[in-house]
Amino acid sequence: MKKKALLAGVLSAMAVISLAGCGSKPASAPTTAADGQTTTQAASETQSQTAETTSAAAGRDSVTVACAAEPDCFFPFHSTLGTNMDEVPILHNVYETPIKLGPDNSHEPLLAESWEISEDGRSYTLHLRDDVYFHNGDKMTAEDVAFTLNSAGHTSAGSAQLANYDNTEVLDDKTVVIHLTDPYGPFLNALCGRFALIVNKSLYEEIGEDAYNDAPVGTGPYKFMSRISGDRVTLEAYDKYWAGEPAIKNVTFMVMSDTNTQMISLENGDIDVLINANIGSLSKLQTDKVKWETKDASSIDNLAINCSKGVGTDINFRRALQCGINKEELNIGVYEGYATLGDIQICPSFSGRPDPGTYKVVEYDFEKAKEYLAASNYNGEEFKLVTVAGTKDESGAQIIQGQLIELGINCTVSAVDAASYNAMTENGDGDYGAKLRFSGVSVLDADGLYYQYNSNFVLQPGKYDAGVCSDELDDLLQKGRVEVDPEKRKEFYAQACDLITDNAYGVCLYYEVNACAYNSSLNGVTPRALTGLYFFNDWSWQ
Amino acid sequence: MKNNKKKFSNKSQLGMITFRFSKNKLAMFGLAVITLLIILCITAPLYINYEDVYKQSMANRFISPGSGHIFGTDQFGRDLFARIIYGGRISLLAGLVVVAFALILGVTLGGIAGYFGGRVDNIIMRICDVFMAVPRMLLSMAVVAALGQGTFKMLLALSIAAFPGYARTVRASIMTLRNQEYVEAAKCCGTSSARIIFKHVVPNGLGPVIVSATLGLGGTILAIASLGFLGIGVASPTPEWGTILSENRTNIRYYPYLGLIPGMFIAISVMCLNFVGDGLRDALDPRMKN
Amino acid sequence: MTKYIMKRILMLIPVVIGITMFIYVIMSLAPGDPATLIMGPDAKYEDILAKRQELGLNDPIFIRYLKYMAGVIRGDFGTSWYNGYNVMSEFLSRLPNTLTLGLMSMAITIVIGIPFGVIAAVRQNGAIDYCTLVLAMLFSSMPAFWFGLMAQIYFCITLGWLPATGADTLKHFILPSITLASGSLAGQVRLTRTSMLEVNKLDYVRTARSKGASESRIIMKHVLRNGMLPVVTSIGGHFATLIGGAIVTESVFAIPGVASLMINAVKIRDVPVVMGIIVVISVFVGVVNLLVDLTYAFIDPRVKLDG
Repeated sequence: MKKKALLAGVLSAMAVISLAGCGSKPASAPTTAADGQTTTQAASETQSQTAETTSAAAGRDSVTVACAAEPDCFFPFHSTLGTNMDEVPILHNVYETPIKLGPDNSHEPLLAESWEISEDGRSYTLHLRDDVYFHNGDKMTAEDVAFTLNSAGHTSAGSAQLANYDNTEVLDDKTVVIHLTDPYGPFLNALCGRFALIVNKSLYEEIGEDAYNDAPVGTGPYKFMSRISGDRVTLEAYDKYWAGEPAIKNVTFMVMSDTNTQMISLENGDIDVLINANIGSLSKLQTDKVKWETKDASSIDNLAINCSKGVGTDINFRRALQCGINKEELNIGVYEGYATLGDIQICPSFSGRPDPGTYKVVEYDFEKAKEYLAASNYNGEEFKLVTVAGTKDESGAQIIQGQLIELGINCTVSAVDAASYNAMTENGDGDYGAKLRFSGVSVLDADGLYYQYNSNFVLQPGKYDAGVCSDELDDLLQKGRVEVDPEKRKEFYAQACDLITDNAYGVCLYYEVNACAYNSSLNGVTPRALTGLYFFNDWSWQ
Repeated sequence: MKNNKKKFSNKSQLGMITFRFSKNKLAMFGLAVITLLIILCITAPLYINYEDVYKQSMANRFISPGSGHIFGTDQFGRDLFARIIYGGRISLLAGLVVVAFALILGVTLGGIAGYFGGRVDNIIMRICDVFMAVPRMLLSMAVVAALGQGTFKMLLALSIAAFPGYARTVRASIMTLRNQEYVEAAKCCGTSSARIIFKHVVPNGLGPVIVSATLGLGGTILAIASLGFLGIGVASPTPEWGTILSENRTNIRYYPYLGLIPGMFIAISVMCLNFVGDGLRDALDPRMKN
Repeated sequence: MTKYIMKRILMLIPVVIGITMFIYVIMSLAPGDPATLIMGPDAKYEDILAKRQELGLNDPIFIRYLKYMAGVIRGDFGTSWYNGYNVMSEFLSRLPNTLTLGLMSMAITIVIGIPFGVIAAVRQNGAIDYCTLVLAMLFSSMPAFWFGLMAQIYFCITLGWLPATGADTLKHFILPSITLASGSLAGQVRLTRTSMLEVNKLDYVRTARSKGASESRIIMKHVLRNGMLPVVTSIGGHFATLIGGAIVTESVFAIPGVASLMINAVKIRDVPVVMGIIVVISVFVGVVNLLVDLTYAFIDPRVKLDG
């Protein structure tokens, strides 16, 4: 009996201990954004919480930035490795592009003081600054720009952004002309991107790609100091930076993968800035020491249906999905309602996006979805949704699963690693019903559709044909790509989008959101559409 | 105590074990809780609509435990109670499958090694050495890395990492038993090998295996939860305790019950399994008591 | 003695060959073409083919394995498929963190586990015995990440006593080490208790008792000294478990150690990194076990080392 009492005591002690651990933040749950109607305009609005000047900020000249993804490739256009977005925050501060992307997707001069575009849209003349020096003391010249673009423009990933790129010609020390084979609408955006980050030609020729990767040298406001694997990258202000030495002298870029850890560090003041933050956690922040902002990203979440195998071959089934998925619920579940709902696979801020009303939109309609489903020859077969585990898409897939089950579709979710995802969808034999993975469009233009639907790209050898290509669509996407006149481009893309919508190749769910949280005493932190693009020299302490 | 001993001295070995086990309060407590849990899980369809596991409602997110939803609701407004009970079916079953698979492999290999000895024994034990050279968690992760993510693959990975332990246990107990006096005595009496094996070796050799399997079950449930936390476990829509914890982990700070309840279910079931395992060990090896 | 050590070291070789072959083969059979993954979604077909050639993926698997092992023998563990860094230098740069975590939590396990095990044995079947056992069991039944998270919230956020994450100072390692130790605590307590009880029944202890030696003297002089032998051996076994457990702990506390390197490599299926970690750790665990056996023989003259 005594032992039993003891046991009970110990068990309740356990409960108390764990409760104490949890209860530390009283569960005064913030109201959830249950009214999904008004979420769209909240996206770019600052969630300011009465910024108080903390005395701690006075005299500080260093910041600690945290991000979940580890930056580990520091040569901008590595020719033998796939490049991803994880390095963007480091690269764009160590290196510079000719043109800078503004927070509103405008183009500002950076290394190029000014530029001209020829009438036919095939040549871009850049007038470069004359006072720019690399971190190793070399002067940046037109040779470096030409070398960079000529190298990057022909790499696998580079040619996807610097599309239609032919070559760069050096006119004099501070002028280059970029020749394109055909016009490319978003080429200026491409000149703001990773593959236009200028590297030092003579240094590259001397030490080669791998050594350059280990000790990157650019013209940017910050010098690359060190990298500790899995932990941090440190940057130091470049004292001879052409636009003046930055206010923040030292930047420590920490890798912090767990969301709770990120939030704890943010609240504790261990980190000053958190980029690519989890909105769900940010919305529950209860401190005025931290501010946060969101910005529509350049990534689109599209449920791509396998149209050439299984139940997805039936257009009525696809249409049932199209009007049977409640995107508002998805938005709340995945982004707390902060994302903008999607209708076509072109973000609202992108160039080339057709104006509202000029393209078809399918609204959510549960009853109609049921009708479509009844009209289809769907018979309770398994509908497999493939997604990448541990991502926001996995949450999205779960919510869609719940909705489809309610609709009467036997939907299962297969959340796998990135490698298996590719093997199952892109390069597999089509053993899936639909796939869900965000796709980023770094050129911030309607041309992103090209990589989803143009047969030149989609039907390369070894890739699975999901049945979303047609000559008509190919033609429209090609026309949109090489057209100079913005209005005509919009027309082409409106037609292309209608074609995609009519055929119900997929369901465009929402556009992703970039969120950034920062110490409220820090000025100048603004998220941009391109994920991870921040310029640390714009920042300063109050 | 003395009276009891006398009373049971004539009983079968099994009876003695049962008696000793029933005297162990902790073990009985563990057994009761585990049995209750298993019954709750098996009979789940009788009192929970399976739809509740998936059914979501954004209007009903993060409802605290209480009326309507006994354990509250999660980030998608799903009923946590339904998910935990149905999750229990998967957690416990997955644990059992891993242990069963590892046992089959381990007992077969260990049995062969122990029975034949010599070169066969050497080869099998070197194979076990190979799999024991790497920490179990690392090995499971490497296998998951190789096979890709998925429930079945993860179970396979855990089984591969677990079997050498059982093989060693079985081999060791068979080795000891082979030279036991009562086995030799039976041999001298001209008992057939089959009878020796089934009457003497198996019942006596099985004990340590059952003990390590019971203890291993708890460890496996923890391992599955840990892999789920690291994002390489059971695919998320299938509710499993570890997965439930991991899918709620960003909200644990704000809605403690989301972490507390699944965490308690894991901790209590693992602990009770350990109590039962310990109780079995003590019951099988009475030297330790008194 | 030297012969024994040599023999043990030689026996590590087939183990390493076995484990590497196993991992290498199943990783090569895995679905998905590494070249496609490495080059990213925008890659052109020709570039993928070139990458496949560069990685030697067109060779038969056996040839690839031999090439890999030939590198390993020269101390060349290759470079990561994804970021091109040298596997060994990445591993070494993270090793100190994992070792600090492992050693600190081992120290905690010993400092807490052994005394409590002794007390439980001395007060066998008493309240303290039960309490200790149940508590220890409770700690090892909790998922480590859960325990870590709760501790983090309480001690770092509410009380602000300790830093939540990172690995800059020893202070950063306190909570992670406790979290990691919590899992192996029960094992340590039970082992110590059992071992003490076993020794307690031996004839020489009974003799000492009958001679009227004081109880504390018996415990300290006879039981403890001899009861510690299996405990020492178990520490070697702990080390392997700790490295396994460190995976979760490092992930919760954002410690850049070997384990987090492994997690990332597993997620993107970076074969050279996974292989490198497995090889080094298996050798490491083997050597630790050897050292433990040597220590065992050193403190217990009854143990003879003849493999």
